[in-house]
Amino acid sequence: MIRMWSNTFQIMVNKPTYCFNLTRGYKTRGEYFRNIGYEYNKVYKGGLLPRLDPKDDSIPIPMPIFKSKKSWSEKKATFGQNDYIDILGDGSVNPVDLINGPKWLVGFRGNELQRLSRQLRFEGSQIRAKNSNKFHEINKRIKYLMWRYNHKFGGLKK
Amino acid sequence: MASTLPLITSRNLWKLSPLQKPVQSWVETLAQVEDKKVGLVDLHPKIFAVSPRLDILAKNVYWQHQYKKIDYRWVPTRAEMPGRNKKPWQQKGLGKARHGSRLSPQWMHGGVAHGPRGPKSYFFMEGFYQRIAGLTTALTVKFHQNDLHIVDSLDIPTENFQYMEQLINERFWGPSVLFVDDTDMMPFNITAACSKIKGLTLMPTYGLNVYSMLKHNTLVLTTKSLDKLEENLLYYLHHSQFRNSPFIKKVA
Amino acid sequence: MASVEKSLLMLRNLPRVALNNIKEFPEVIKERKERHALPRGKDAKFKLGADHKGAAQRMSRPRLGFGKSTPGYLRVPKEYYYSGHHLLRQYLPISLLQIQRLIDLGRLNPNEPIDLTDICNTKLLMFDPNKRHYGFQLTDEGADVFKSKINIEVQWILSELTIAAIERNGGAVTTKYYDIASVHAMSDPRKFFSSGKPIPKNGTPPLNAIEYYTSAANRGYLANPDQIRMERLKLAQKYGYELPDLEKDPLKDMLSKRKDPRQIWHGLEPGWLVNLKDEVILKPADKEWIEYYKS
Repeated sequence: MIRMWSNTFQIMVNKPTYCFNLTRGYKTRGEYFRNIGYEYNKVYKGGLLPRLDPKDDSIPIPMPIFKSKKSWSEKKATFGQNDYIDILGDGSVNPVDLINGPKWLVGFRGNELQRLSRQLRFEGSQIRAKNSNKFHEINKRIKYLMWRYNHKFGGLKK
Repeated sequence: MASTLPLITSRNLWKLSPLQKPVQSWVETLAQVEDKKVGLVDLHPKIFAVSPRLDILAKNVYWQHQYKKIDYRWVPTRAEMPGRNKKPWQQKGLGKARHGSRLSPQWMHGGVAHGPRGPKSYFFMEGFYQRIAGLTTALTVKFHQNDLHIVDSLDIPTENFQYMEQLINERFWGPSVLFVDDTDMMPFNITAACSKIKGLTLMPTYGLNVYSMLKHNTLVLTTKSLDKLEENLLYYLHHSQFRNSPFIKKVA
Repeated sequence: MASVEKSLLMLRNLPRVALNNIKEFPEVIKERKERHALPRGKDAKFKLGADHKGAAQRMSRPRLGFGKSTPGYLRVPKEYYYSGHHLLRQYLPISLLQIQRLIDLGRLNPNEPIDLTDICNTKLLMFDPNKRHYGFQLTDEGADVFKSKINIEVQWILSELTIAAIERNGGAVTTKYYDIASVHAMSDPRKFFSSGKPIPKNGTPPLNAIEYYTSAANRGYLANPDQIRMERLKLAQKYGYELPDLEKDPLKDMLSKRKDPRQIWHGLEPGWLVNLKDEVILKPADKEWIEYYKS
């Protein structure tokens, strides 16, 4: 039979001839622990009303810190500028010419297969020279999508 | 002062239908803080008195958001994950679940199925005449809600931003104002004054758009930019060769 | 216009139109949502924008042309007997005997050119443009008893015996096409004039009728007059009668009266507006209208 004390083990054996104490080699934990990680005061227990009395609990109500959206930053204040330049300008510029993005995507919308094949058409040789693994993966993906388009029903994800 | 100024500045309204009457607007000036009228101008009813179709405005704003949007999110599939595609353990005899690859999507550090793929564009082109209708509707709405003001020029006497603040408070132009002039280079004073106040934006005529007109409370046009606007809009309204011509990007 | 002004007046008292209070029509929004509404979560990989449940979701739809028991390439194509039947033009039959009888009873005036309006004004025929009646067809019943000298204009003639019966008596016949708006106007002129609309410009015949109305054998209104003269002579020789000389006829003016292809009534031109109450005819003065109604 083994009894556990706070800092020593006392081993009592049936034979009364020898009895000894052993000092425990572990760090003491102090008081008795239960529900480790549970904070008693975290949940409000003052009633059903959704109102907190500051005297009851010193923890403030969790609220996100206000962050200004900066709705008049230069980018946001001038959003949409030159979108009608083909009507209001001299006719030489189209708003599509002003889109920032990959060349093969500007003025184009399509599913993944169309996008990848267009990318290859635009810069396929460069990709092949610079990053042959990427070229291989694009081709692999195209092959998979072709199989999917022709042999599975449901089409491609737009 | 009124005796020296031209009280009515005459304007030729091109293609004015005999059934329609021109609408009229005061010409104001930014030269002093007090609101004094400098003249009166005729505005073309095909631009400043069209039917206020708010759905056309919404459609135009939607187009402005969408046509230049590019989604760059990309996650690799199982085929693109680095690592060997070897069978992790034998099929039978271990008491474990059967698996054929460490890269399949239910594995940690495996690929993603149906993830976002690559740069994707949401491009579409709104109809040419729908966009013209958007501009005319926005101008009409601004004009009839008393939010459109026409000024002789954008010259102000000082570069002090307090002058601009006083002027806007005096005339109830609201927190945000969009100034439109026909030139690329705006006068120095107004650029200096507007740069210190949030909500005051300067724009050339060709940069005018539906979104900005609706975002700002007040729209201020100079007489020159008004002429340019009317000229361009009426030109395209009366030429049918642009009708039903979708935008086609040339393929390299 | 008035509605625009009214809505603009309303706009003055409404809150400022801004980005937060504009919206498209609900149909458009719904359509767009449906287009973009892909199933989320665990269903996303099964349903690629496809319908909930069924073959579409499980991607087990047959290939194009393989849904039915017979594959598409083996199926016999169908030609429905009544396909496009409701689009055909109808011509109400009226016989020469009926015409002769109407003249004898004084319901038709043989001394004036007879056209669609005159026949409708007898009020004896069930003519209804809403049933796609495009006019009258003249049949040869009673060709032997036909005795009047008339200048008649009908929409369709099938037998040349009809033409021969009229021309033997020294008369003249024309076939002319009217579009449905003109037929509506001509079938009831009083109703049309009281509606306050200008007289319509007659349309051109549809593709399947151009050949008919340009042929001289049918006395079409678009045929060459020289060829019509030839055809008259030919028909006279075929049926064995002598063509009366039009030049010496006292009714020469009446018999040689023809309408312009765009015109629908004698003496009235398209674009004019007949006011029955004040007994006034109003003519367009604007250059663009004149240009539009020009033949």
